[in-house]
Amino acid sequence: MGDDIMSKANHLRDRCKEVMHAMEESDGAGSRANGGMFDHLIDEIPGMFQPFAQLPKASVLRAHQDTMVEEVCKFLNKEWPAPAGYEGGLANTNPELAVTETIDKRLSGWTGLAATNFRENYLAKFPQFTKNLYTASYVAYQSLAAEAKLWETANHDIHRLCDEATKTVDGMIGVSMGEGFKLALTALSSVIAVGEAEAGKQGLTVVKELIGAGKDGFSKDGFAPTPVSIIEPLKTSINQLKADLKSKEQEIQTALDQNTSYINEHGKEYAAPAIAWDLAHSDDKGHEQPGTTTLGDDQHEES
Amino acid sequence: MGKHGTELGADLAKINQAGDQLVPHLADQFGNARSKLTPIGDDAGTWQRDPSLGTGVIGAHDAFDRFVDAIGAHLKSTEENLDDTGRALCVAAADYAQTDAAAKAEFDKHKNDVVS
Repeated sequence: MGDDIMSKANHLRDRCKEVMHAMEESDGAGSRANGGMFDHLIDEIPGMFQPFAQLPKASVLRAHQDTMVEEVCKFLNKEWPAPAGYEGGLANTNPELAVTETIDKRLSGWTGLAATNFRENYLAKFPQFTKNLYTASYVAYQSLAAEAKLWETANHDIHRLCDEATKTVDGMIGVSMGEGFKLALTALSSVIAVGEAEAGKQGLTVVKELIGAGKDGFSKDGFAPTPVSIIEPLKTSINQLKADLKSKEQEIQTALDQNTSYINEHGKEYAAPAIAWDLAHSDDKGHEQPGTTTLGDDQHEES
Repeated sequence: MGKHGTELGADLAKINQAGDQLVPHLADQFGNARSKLTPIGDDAGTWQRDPSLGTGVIGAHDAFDRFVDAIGAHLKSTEENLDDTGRALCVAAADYAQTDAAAKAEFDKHKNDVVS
């Protein structure tokens, strides 16, 4: 992702220079530009786009999402996507996990403290452990989705920004000063229409920002636009995009930290507990007597 | 009256099967889920970006990794505790089976005692 933005940025730079030089030739010295004196400003353009040449790989994040669903979420519960309000009473639909119910049935004839504890504190709560783990894995899935969407949007925006800037510069060539100004405004109006039509969607705020800044820049000085006019709006737009990315990334990070804290604070609700029997590690103890809370101490009654 | 003899033996066999086969299989499934989850958390490379974007080198990945680690730790605990539970069921079934003959003998000895 972002790997070809530099070729676009370099093209924009080259196009800006071509147009500037063409304007100089057709308009005479000193009217708009002065013999390549703005080239150093135009040369800044690729550098502005450089941070976007290496973006997180949204496609891999999407692949991780798929793995989360298929290997983790659906194992903990085959119900996918999770229905609204599932936290309240989602039945466990993975037959693999129903083994605890089978064990419960096989112990149905056993009574006494150990069997009762095992049934009440282990088997009966097992669905809740898996449900909590399911919820946690769902949050991980959602955070991957948010991260992927963030960088897909960034990639979309930065390309759109470069494309629109190039289009605007292209509109400046081959016309007289007055015509160029008119043509540029027409092109901008067209872009604004697109931006406004999709205002409800993510990702176009930056393009609109460019357009807004560009309009102000063009109308303020009373001169026809030149490729140099686009540099400051580009900077403004890119800085805005970077600020948006930072803000969104911080939101994701904060949400993840909060969820981690929650899991750490409520750990007992997320894992099947260690059994309270001495024979849990009987292999290590040389198969010694099983202690006081084994099933062997229980009463076995008619089931 | 409780079960005994072959009937009790059949029950114990079922418990042993659960402890020896069903529960370990379930534990393995938790282990499998964890093994698939861990690389996702470890994959910092996918999150890399140019630090001049202002979001660090890997952004929220550290937070994501901590979160995934927390989930993985519970999957691991569940896996290990299920393994222990399976062993416990097997040992309990075996131990109880050992008591059957003695219980029967004790019963035979006192079966005609007069209840006061």
